[in-house]
Amino acid sequence: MSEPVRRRAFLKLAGRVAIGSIVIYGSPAAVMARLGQSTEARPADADAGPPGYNPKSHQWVFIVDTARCIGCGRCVRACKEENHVPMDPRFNRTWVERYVQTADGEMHVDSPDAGIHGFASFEANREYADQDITKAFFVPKLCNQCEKPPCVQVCPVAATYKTDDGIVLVNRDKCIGCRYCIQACPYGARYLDPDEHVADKCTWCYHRISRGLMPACVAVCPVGARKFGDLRDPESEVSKIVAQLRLYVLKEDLGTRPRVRYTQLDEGVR
Amino acid sequence: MSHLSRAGVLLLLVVGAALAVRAVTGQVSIPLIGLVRADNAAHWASLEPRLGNAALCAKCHSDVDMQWSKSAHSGQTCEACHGAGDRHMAYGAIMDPAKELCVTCHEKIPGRPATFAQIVKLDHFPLQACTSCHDPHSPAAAFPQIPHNVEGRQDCLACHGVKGIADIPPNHANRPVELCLGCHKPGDRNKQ
Repeated sequence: MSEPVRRRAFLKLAGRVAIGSIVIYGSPAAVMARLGQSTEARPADADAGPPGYNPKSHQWVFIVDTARCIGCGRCVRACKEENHVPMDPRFNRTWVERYVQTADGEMHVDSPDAGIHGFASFEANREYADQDITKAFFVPKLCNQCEKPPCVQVCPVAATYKTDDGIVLVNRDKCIGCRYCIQACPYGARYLDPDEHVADKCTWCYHRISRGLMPACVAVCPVGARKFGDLRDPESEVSKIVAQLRLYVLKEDLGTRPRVRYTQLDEGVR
Repeated sequence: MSHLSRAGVLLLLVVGAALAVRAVTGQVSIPLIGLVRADNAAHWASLEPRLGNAALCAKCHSDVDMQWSKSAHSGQTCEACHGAGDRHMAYGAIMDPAKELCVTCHEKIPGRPATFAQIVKLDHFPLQACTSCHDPHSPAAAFPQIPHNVEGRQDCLACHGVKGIADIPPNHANRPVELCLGCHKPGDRNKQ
């Protein structure tokens, strides 16, 4: 019994085991199927949204017209109401920034309480009272739903993923709250949900767009600064804008290929 | 078999095994083989929308809808100013009159497009409430609504023909006084 197993004998045995297991399980694919669930074995409705919604037939795009935004902050409030985002100004799925360039060439950026109460307060404008302003504009921001999302790449537990229609979502049951995706997002679009300690982000109101509604922020925008639609529909407003106007994305050099496009974006916007 | 070729075969095997492990455990294939089933898009899609549409509000508030739909604010949804209406619909929670002040949108501040209607509140009747002249549902009516009783006041033009007292619009010129009450119902609003 205690005789040491010789190398040749061990290799022979190992070979038999390998061949035997292939015979028993049929193929490596079958092994994988038993380990987990193969793609075919998944229930058909696992990826399905509401009835009649086919994610593969849509190519959503979000367009922000910075020349129209008046900085009223209704989008920020509507988003929080719609998606039950904490009212604490530190946690936002969307927010509005204001860029003010003064005559000395300096660019001032502010976003009081993420812009939820607008920018009309005395405190927000005190520093500009006796300044010469060369240009000033608002920039609404939200998740860019990148085609190459760094946040998905870095997630150690694959809890965040991209849907077939290009929306980056978080599985709150899988997320371990490590904040790595929050660090990885170059746009600061993610935050840690203070109640459940999982990553949270803009979904472009996935529950609304899959029902044919506009995202909440788009629906309440009083000046049409936020537009949303399907590039697969050549008659949609966004298709015409994409076809006709010059559009810009944030931090193009990072290669994330954002799906939020801005008209008249200024060089100073980061 | 020479030692060299044996080492080569071993190297190939190791590389092949490494590639196989990578293919199985890589980020793309983990969800594919179902070891991790993160994709819960169906859950996200199944959430109930909170913000509804203005057509629901207008079912009851048809009087406001009549005003609003013809006004400069007709591009706004009700919930843009009044907030989400789901609790109001579900159990009659009282809506806020409006969550923001007029100046949130209309105060002249750096950043606002010049084409948008703006005022400097300090120069524009600073002590008066906006609503004493403007109705948010029909903001273009920029003159005071002074509801008054019409009994005993048959000649509207006695006052309204005079410059300064709710001037007659240019396209109303030469209309006989008998026509006024066909469209205008002064006194209806507050029964004064």
